[in-house]
Amino acid sequence: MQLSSTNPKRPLAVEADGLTKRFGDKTAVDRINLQVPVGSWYGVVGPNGAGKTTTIRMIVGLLEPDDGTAEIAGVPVWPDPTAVKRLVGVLPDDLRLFERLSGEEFLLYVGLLRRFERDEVLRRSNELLTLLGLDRTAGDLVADYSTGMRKKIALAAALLHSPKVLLLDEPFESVDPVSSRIIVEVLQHYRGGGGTIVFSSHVMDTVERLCDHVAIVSEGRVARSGTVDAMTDRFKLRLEDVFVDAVGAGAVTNPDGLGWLSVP
Amino acid sequence: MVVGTVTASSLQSQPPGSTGPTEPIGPTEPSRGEGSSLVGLVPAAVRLRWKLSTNRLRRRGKRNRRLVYVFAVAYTILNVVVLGQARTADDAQAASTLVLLMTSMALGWVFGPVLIGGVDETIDPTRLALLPLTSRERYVIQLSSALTGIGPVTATAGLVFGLSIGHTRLGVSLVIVPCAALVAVLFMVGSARSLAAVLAIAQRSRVGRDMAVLLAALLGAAIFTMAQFGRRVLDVEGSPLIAFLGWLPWAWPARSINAARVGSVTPALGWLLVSAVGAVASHLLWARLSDLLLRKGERVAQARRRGDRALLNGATTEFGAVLSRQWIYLRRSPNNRVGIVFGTVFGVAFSLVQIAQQGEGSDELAAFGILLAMAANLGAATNVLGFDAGSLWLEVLAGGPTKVGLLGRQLIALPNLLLPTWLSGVVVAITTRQWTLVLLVALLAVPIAVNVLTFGTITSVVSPAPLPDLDNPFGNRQSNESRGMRIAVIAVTAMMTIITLSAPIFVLLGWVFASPARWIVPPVSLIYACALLWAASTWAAGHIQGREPKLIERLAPRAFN
Repeated sequence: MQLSSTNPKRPLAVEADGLTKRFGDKTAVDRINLQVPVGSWYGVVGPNGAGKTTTIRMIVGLLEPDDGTAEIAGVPVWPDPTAVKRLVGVLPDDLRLFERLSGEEFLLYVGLLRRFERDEVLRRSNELLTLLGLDRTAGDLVADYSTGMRKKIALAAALLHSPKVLLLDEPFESVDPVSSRIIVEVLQHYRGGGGTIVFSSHVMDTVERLCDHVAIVSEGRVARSGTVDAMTDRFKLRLEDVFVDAVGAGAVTNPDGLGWLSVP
Repeated sequence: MVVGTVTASSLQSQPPGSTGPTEPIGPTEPSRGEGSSLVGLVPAAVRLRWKLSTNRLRRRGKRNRRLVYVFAVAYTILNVVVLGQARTADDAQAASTLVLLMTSMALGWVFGPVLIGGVDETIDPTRLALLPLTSRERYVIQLSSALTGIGPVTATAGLVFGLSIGHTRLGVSLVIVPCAALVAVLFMVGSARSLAAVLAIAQRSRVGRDMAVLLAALLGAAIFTMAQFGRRVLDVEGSPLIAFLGWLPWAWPARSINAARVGSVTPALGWLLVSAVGAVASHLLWARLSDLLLRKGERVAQARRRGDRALLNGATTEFGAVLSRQWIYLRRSPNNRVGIVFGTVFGVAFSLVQIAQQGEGSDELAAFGILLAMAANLGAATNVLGFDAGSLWLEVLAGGPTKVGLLGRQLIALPNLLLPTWLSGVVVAITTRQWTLVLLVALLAVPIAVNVLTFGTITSVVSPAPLPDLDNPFGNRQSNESRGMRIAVIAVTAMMTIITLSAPIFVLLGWVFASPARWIVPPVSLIYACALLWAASTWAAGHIQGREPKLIERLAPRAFN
């Protein structure tokens, strides 16, 4: 269901057409279509296990789809995702990083792998570390970082090469409000410079507050998509209610079954 | 049921059994009585451990499950037969054999898990930290779990039945032998778990962790050497080694059995009593160390923070960055540190044992024998993509792993290969005084080690296996599950391939061995070996191209989830 038109003439940063992925008998992503306009902040929301992460993995070239196509800034992702990797920055949900490098070593390593000059990497990483509030802990090992710090250092690595599109998987999960605010400010700065942000979440308030476009994914399919404005009928509805309606979630049917769980 | 409101008065404690809105906040007392609480925990712990064992087997598939059951039955029968054979042996020979067998079994039981590594969540006290258990209750759970499972059950059955068949005679031995067998099992369990707890505590500091690993490696090498020379030991009448082993605490139950066998009741009871005391002491120590572990928490020591050196050792290129990261990981990763310590100790032991078994009067053979030390550390070179593969996605997104990236990963295995070889060389040179020849072989070891890297480059991309970079250096048993065959196949293939690749080096050496030109062989061989490595890296990088998603799926399917 397409609630609002994405301007067909507006160039697309990300386009997925019929993306499908099956794991054995289970279809994790079932013919998903996404059109993310350049410069937008695009939220992909859905319940746990809806296929959000799998979709992002296919879009960034880390998981080959069984069917369908994906493009980043007009460049096809498959069959050879090498070119696309220069265009995207990725922040995964489950952060597996180089734990035994310090924060600044980690950024330098990623920068050198992307074949940047050492001095340029150091300049960019110093700015990012300062901006993200990690400058004083830059010498600590990534293994010793808190969840918020890990998200921030991974975000710095994703931004280091100034990508055209930033794909973030649950960027605010387990992050304290202060770190969240810092991350949001950095992302707004990035977007102000022409970047496009796609991020998955199941926190509706955050999506409603930050995004201009949203796609609700359920059971591997896009249940609804469009501008937040249109989805919420110019904010007369709450996105959470739209989401619950779209995914068809019910209420707890037998609360009496938990009779022992009572507080006098 | 109406849910009440929380007020100050409602937070006051109420008598148990009250219902309705006035029921107090907080956990309900369990219904079991105080006296039965300890016994009542046993079935739950046994069921938990048994379920964990069988569920793990179920995941491996029907064929593997059958295979494990067949092996378990065969192992029990083998134990019964080997121990039962003593019935036909004369008393002196049976006594020596039993001391050797029981101490070997105990050393294997106590130190084996250390050498293999492993985490058993039902024995780990920190897994029970959130449950409201007293020390006694926790100990009962740990003990019940430790005695359950396919390994302990088969070993206990084999010991009790085998010893009863082989060593009982009419009279008091009918009682003492099975009792001593059970005491032996309890002693081994208590010792093994105490040692595991000590190691867990030692891991809280970097030095402690390294010392623990070094001790484990030395013990392993000692057991390995003892196993190699076991038959020779038994052949010597009144062997001092048997006499020494007889005084180890784990041999005390064997001494009780030996005394009971010949009808010496008082010594039999005395050794049984001493064994029981030792077993109780080991269990008290285990319980105490478990308490200590819980109080101090389970956090392990992290590696040291960076020093004042330039970031990534001043790397300015992709190759430099990869090499530097590998070098940093060699120092900071407990797994890599364990690898180099284990590989060095075992490598030296392995090569020296092989040299010793070839007999005396063959100094030249001994000098070349040091090359065998590399065999103990093949793993450092044959799985460079599988190690810490969780972060592989980062390299893939940056366009890697490339040829230079693969080269950098491989090259850092050189210390693992050369260190044990050169240390063995020093020992051989001291004992044979063949300093010049050993120096030549030590130099030749470099191109041969590069050939190992060439083989590793191919293996690492063709058959990588996930190997997590854990903080616990003894905690990698799970990652090796079902991969024993891979390791065996790689070891055999490695030997054949490396010998084939190195054959031209030895042909050249044989050709000029008698002349001073033999010193030209190492540098010429190195050029040859580097050319092979370069070619292998080019092929490997091309092989990976386009297969990165499958590689991530295979090595770290949940790395991005």
